[in-house]
Amino acid sequence: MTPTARAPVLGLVVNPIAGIGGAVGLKGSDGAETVARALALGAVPHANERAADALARLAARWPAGRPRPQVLTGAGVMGASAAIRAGLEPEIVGRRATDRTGDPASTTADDTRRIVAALAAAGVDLILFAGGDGTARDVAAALAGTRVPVLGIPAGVKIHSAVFATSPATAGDLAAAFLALAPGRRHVVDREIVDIDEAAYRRGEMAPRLFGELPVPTGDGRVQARKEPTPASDAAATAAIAADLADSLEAGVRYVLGPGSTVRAIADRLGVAKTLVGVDVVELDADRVCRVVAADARGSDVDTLVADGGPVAIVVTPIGGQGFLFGRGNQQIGASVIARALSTAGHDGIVVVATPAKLAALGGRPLLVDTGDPAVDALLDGHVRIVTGHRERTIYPVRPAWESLR
Amino acid sequence: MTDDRRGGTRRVAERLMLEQALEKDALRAEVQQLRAEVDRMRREADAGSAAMSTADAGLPVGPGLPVDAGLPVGPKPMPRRFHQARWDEPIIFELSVPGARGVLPPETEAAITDAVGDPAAALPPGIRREAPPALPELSQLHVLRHYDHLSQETLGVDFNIDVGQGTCTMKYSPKVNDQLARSHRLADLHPLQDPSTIGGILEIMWRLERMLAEISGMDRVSLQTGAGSAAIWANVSMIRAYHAARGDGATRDEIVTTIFSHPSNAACAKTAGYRVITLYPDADGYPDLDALRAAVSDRTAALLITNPEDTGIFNPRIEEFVRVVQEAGGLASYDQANANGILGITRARDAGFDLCHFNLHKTFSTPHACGGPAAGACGVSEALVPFLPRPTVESDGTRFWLDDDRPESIGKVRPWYGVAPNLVRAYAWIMSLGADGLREVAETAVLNNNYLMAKVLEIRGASAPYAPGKRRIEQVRYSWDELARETGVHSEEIGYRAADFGTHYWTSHHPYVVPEPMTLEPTESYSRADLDEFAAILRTIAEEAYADPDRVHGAPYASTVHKIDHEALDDPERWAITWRAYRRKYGIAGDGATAGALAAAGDDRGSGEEG
Repeated sequence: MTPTARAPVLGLVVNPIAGIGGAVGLKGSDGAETVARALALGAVPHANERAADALARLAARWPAGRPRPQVLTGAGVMGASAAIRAGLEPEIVGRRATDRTGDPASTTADDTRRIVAALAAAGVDLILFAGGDGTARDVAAALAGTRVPVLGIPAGVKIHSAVFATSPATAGDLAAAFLALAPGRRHVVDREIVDIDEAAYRRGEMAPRLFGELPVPTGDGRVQARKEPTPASDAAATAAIAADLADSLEAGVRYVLGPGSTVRAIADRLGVAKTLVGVDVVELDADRVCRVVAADARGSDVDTLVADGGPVAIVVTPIGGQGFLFGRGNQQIGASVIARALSTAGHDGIVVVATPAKLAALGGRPLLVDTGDPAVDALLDGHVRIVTGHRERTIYPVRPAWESLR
Repeated sequence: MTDDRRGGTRRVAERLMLEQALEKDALRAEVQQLRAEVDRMRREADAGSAAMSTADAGLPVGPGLPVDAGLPVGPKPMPRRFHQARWDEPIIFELSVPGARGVLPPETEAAITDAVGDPAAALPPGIRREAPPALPELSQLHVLRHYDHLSQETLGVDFNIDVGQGTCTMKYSPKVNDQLARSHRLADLHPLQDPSTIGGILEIMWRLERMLAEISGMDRVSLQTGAGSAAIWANVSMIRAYHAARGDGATRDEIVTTIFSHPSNAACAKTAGYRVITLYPDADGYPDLDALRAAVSDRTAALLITNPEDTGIFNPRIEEFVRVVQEAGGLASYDQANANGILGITRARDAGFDLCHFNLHKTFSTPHACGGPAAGACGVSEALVPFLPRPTVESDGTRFWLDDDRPESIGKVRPWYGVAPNLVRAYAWIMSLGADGLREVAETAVLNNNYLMAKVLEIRGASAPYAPGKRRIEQVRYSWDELARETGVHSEEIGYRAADFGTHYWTSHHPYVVPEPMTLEPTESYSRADLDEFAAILRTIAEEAYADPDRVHGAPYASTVHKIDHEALDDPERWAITWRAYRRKYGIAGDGATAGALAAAGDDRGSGEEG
């Protein structure tokens, strides 16, 4: 098994204006108007610098004597200048639609999507992108239907998604380690993309949603390197969780199903379709036939659906790399619904599901809750019983996010 | 067995130990001499310009020793070079030649046939085969050669510095104990003999039970169980019987364990039908007491816990763990499969446990036997005695007998009375050490472990997560996370490379809660020089990972097999542990159908039962 002699191919895309809103207190950088305001306020874009830092680290960590990765990227501020700054010789696969002025503000989400699509078409082994949650959404949109591994260099204001490395340096480390492996030995896991509605955020409302999942290099050393679904794999663990809940969910209870593929597997098992990123409400009748009461429900819908006083329970899985149980990616499940579930059915009112590998990947950090109501957060503070398999439970700590960040 | 004979056994054992000790001293002097010689040569070589030139493409080469030292047999590099045999050995069924025979017994003489008739006719029809068994047909030489080849392709416990299989405890089994176990006085016994004629072996069992009761603090110990999961299964069965007898059987349906307890605990509880509640450690790596409080309720049947856990960290609040469970009405069961670090130091009952078990192979030096005839021991407090497996061995001080009249017993968990030869080995081992010797075993195992930990933590890229600055007991779960991040070399690959140096290596159970894990357990068997050699192997591999990661990625180079297909081993559709299953699943030798074809035809014989 000699390692391949072919140089790996790295795709790079930089959202040059990512993060410029943050420095001047604009809570994000989405929209041309915001960018213009930020620039007017004197904001300096740093995304290219951060991308260059990551690439320089990748180059420094590259094993001696191995052909260096070939870098494909967008022209100018869309990646090429960062690559050149890191001492690499990039090949250009696309340029901005309005690339005349050299003004970073003239880039759009559409530019990002077009370059990512070109990188995917060129068969890159990994796409590094510098940006924030909004950029991650654009990358995901361009990669829909593909399995190209992706890794985020954190450069945006909002970094709630689990597809980002913790810093530009660790992005470089992870990318180097991943690309240095022979193609068959590289391992990815699907991680969530979470973003908030910036307009609402600026009005003081925190409303993050799950927008999808992207395959990300593992590299935390905790995940079994398995290419196919076998009984020891995460997929099998997900199926076992679904089998447990299909048996143990009670008839006559209104179940609020949170987003994510683990919860969706339960719905599949119950024979109903569930949205991946939405919150759905289901109910089992006396014959244990499941029906969807509401699909992709908004927060207000959920409130209404559980307001009739019948028993309510919530089925959720932790979202994102930070391990948020409530408050990131499943904001549709509001504090009042959580309080209802806790009071009507005791602690079984909150059914948490997660595979053992997902918990191990948290590295011992507690699950976090940020329901928007400190009193409800305090009710959840402590230990939660997580369904980790068929007739298997794990006791795991939960902390209010504000407390853990204190 | 008379007192006189027991004295004789002890004297033999003592003499052998004395001889071994003398031999060790002589060896040590020789080794010291050699070391001095090597050091002298190294200084000379350093002074000159002698450079190492053992550029051997396939073989690992250690640092630092001159090649042309002028000795007829040159000094060996450290770690030494190694190459394992690779025979590409067929499965014995593939070697079968119709008609070949190992032994040709003489034809029965006519007079005998006339007198006896057909001996098979004397067998009851129900146990007579209609056709001969489909066994391979080979000559004696070919059988011998086959198994010799296979033995060369393994890394047996007596063959390598076997500290790389943490939690599996590979300690040395003194051969004198084997001699006793093979004695015709034991081998000629038959379990169907009238118990009145087997007082000797019953006395050994009875005495061994008393010793293990003393070591654990428990009231009674059953020696009938197998080891490991079999012993835990017996304990879980007793737990179930205990609650059933109190009318709680149906409601107490949960068993609590910890993520760093041996997973056999969770597996046995699950197999017995319990819902398994697993606790994650607290921030310092200790079992989380608050998590335990959140886990227990009137549904709790028991806590099954290892201590020290697989991290090697001793739970300082173990008594409180036991109390919390017992206050909720549950029982506390101590997985002492591996008691190497605590023999003569702590006892299960003293911490309040209701049950415990030992693996006689892990702690008391009997052979592992690969899931076969390993022996276990289940200890219980007075309240659980009625539920012990039957029969028990009883005595009035002079006579020994089997008691099968135990109405509340969970029944037989093994045929007959357990694995008698291993019970004899364990008995001999304990007798040869005595109480002080057992404590010394624990102290040496702990010292060895902490010595090795100090050596390993000097290696770049290695760490021991949790409980910083605290000593470990008998093993350590290390992490190569830093090395993996810096070099792209993963712990599993270090294991492949370790095979090139003729040694085992193990990561951990799944999931990898400790990233890039490695678990080492040196036991009391290995010398300081052994541990230095093992640490040198790890250091060499770590240095390779930094200097030339491809070298490690491409390993092994000097082993019997290259990389193992783990996925097939995880997949019941593809694993094959018998010849019949192999033919069935892979469509070999006339079956004509592949596993896929079988599956397509709806034939589910490919999974589940194994030959």
